Amino acid sequence: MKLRHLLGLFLAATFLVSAVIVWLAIELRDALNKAAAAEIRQVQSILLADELRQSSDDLTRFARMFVQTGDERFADYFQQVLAIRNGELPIPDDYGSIFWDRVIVGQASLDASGDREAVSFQERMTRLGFTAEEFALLAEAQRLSDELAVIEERAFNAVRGLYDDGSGSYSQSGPVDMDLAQDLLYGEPYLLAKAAIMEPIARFQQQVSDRTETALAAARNEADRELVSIFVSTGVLVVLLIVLATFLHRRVLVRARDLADAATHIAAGDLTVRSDVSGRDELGILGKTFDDMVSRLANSLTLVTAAKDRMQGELDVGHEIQMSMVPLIFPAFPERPEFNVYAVLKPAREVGGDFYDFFFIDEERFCICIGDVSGKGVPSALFMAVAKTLIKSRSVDDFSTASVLTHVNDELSANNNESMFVTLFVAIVDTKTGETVFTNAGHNPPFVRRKDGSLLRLDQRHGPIVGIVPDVVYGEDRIGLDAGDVLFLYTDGVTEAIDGNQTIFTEERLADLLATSDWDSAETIVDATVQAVEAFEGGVEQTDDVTILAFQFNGDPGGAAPIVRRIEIRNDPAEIAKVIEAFDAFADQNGIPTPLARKFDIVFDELLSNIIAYAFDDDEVHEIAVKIEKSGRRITVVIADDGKPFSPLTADTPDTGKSLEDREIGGLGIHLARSLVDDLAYHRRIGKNVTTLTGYIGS
Amino acid sequence: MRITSKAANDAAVLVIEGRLDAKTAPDAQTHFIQTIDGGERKVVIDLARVDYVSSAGLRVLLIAAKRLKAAGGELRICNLNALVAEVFELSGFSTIFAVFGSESEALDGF
Repeated sequence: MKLRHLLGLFLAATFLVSAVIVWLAIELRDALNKAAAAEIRQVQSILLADELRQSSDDLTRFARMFVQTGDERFADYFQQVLAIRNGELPIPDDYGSIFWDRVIVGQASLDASGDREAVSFQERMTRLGFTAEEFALLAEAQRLSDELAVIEERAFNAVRGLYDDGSGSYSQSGPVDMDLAQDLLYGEPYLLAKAAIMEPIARFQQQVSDRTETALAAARNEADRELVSIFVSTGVLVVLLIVLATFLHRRVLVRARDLADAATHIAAGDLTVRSDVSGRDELGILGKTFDDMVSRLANSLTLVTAAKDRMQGELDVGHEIQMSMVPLIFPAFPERPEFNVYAVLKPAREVGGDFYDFFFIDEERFCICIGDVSGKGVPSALFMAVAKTLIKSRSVDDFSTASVLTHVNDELSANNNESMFVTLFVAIVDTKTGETVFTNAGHNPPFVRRKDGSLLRLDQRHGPIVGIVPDVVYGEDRIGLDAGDVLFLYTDGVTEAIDGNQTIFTEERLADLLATSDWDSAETIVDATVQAVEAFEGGVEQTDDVTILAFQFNGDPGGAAPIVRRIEIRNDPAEIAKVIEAFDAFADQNGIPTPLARKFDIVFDELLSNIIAYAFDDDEVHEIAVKIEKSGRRITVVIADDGKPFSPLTADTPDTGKSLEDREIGGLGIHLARSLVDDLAYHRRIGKNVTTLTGYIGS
Repeated sequence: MRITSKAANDAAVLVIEGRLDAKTAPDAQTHFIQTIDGGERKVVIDLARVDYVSSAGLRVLLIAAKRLKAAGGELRICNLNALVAEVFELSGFSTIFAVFGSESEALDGF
C-alpha cells in the first residue's frame, strides 16, 4: 500500500476518533447539566416541602398570638400566610423560616417585595414536576391544614365576639370570649389536627427526597458513563497516534535514514554501497531507483576509469617510444676527443613530445638536432620517430641543414592528417674545423657560449614549424665554433618551467645562468641547468618535457684538416677504372701505402662491379657517388648508389673449402671486400645504398 | 694488364703484368683459352708482376684450371705477392690451386 493511502487512512481514523470524543464531551456536558438540574430541583422540592410545614407552623403561631393578644395585626399575618400559600399574594424574596419572625419585629414586610408573581403552592408543585402521589400527600396535608383553619377561624371570631350562626357564617354577635379562643387553639383537638398535618408532610418530604435522589444518581451515572467513554476514546486516539508514530518511524524515518546514509557514502566516493530500501510505496520506489542509479554510476565510473587507464597506458607507451629513440649512453663518443656532447630528457607525466638526436654523418660531420612534437601519447611518439628518421636519412648525403629540413618538412606535411607538427633545430658541425651550419624551424633559439664566457643567441629563423606547410624552402646560417665553445640547445620545458607562484623560468634567467657560471664540459653545463630548473620549480610538478643538449667543441687535436676527393661515375663497368685511378692518384699524393691502396682497389673493383651488375633493373643511366677522404691515419670511402637495396654485410659467405671442380665464383667478391678493409658499414638511406669503407694506415 | 707467353720445356709460361680485375679479366680469359685450345696442357701462370687480383681475376683462373683439367692438363701458379697471396688465402684458392714460390719450382716435375 502506498504511503499516501496509509497516511490518509490514519488521518481519517484520527479525525473519526476525535469527532467521537467531541460528541462524548457534549454528551457529558448534558449529563452534568441534568445532574445539576436534578440537584437544584431536589433542593427546591425539599425547600417547598419545608415551606409547607413552615407555613403550617406560622399559621398556628399567628392564630395563637391573635387569640392571646387580640391584636388584629396577627390576624392579618395569618391571612397573608394563607394568601401567599394560595397564590393570592406574591412570595417575598427572602421568604424563609425566619421571614415572619422578622416581620413581627418590624424588620421585614410584605410591601417591600415589589411586583412579584403570585403563585399558588399547588402551581409551584406542578412546576417542579411533583408526582401524583406526592401531590396527593401535599393535598392531604393542605386539606388537614384547612381543617385546622376552621378551628382557627372559630377561635379568631370568638376573640372578635362573633359566632357561627349555624350556616357556617360568623354573623351572630356575642361577648368576646378569649378563654374559648385559647381553649380552641391549645385544646387537644387542635393539637391532634396539627399533628395529622405533619404526618403527610414528612412522608412527602421523604418521597421527594427519594425521588430526586434517584434522579440525581441517574444523572451522575450517565455523566460517569460519558466520562469513561471519553477516557476510552482518548485512549484509542493515543494508541492510534502511537501506531502512526511507530509506522512513520519504521516505514519512513528508518528507510529515509538508510537512504541518507547510502547517499553520504556515495558522496564520499564509495560506489559499492546500496540503500537496500525496497517496497512498493514511494520510498521503496525511491530506494530502488536510487540503487539502480548508483549501479549505473558505478558502471560509468568503471568505464571512465578504464578509458583513463587506457589513455595513461597510451601515454606511457608514448613515453617509452620517446625514451627509446634518444641516445642515452654517455660519453657518447669517447674516441673522439675533438668534442663532447651531453643531453638530458626529463619527460613530463602528461604533455611532452621532446626529442634530441646526434650522430655522425660521415667521419667528420656531426649532426645535432633537437625538437618538440605537438601533442602527446603514441601518435606524437610515432610522428617524432618519423621526423627523427627522416632527418637522419636525409642528412647522410646532404650536408645542408636547409635542404634536410626542406625535405623533412615535405615528407611530414604530406599525409599529415592529424595536423601534428614539430619545432626543430638542426645543426651539422664539422668536427675538424668547428664550422657549423644550422637551421631553426620554429624552435627556441639556442645559445653559443664562447670560451671567453660571452653568450651568443642564435636568433635566426629559417622557416615555419615543420609538418604543416608543404613546399616551404628553409634557409640556413653558418657559425664557426672555436675550441672551448659550447652550442647549447634546449626546449621550451626549460624556459617555461613554472614555480609555485606561477612564475615562469624565462629565457633571461637561462641566459644569466649560462653567462655567469664557469663550465668545463657539456655534461656539467647540462646538469647545472637541470638543477637550476628543478630548484626553480621547488617541487612543483613539471608540466612539460625538459630537454637540454650541449655540444662542446674542443678543436682538432691532430691539427690537419681532412683531405677529400669525390668522384662520380655512371653505371658502366668501364667506369670502375676511373675510380681506381683516382684513388691511386689520391693515395700517391697523400702518402697512402701501396699495399693498402691495392686493397682498396680490389674492394672498389668488387663493390662497383657488383653494383653495376645487379643494382639496376632498368636501362637508365645511374650515377654512383664515391667520396674518398683521408684524415690522419684513417682512410674513409663512401659509395652511394640509388639502386635497389643491397647490403654487402648480409651477403652469404662462399664456401672457400670446396675443390676445384665444385668451386663457384659467386659471392666471393663481397667476401673479399669485407675481408680486405678494417671496417665496412652499410646503410640504406632514402632510395640509396650507402656503403662506407674504413682502413687505417699501419693497421 | 699485359700477358706475355714463353715456352719452358714442354710447358707454357704466361707472365701477367698489371691488374687482374673486372676490367682486364675478359682479355686474360681470352688469352688463357687460346693457350689451352692451342694444345698446351702444362700451363704456368706467373703472377710476379701482378699488382692485385680481384674476384674477377680469380674467376678466369678458375675457368682456366677447370678447362685444363678437363683436357687432361694442369695449371700451376707462381710468384704471388703478399696481397695476392692474401686474396688467395681469403678465397680458399691457395688450397685448390697448385701454388709455387717461383717459376722454376713450378716447372720442376711438370
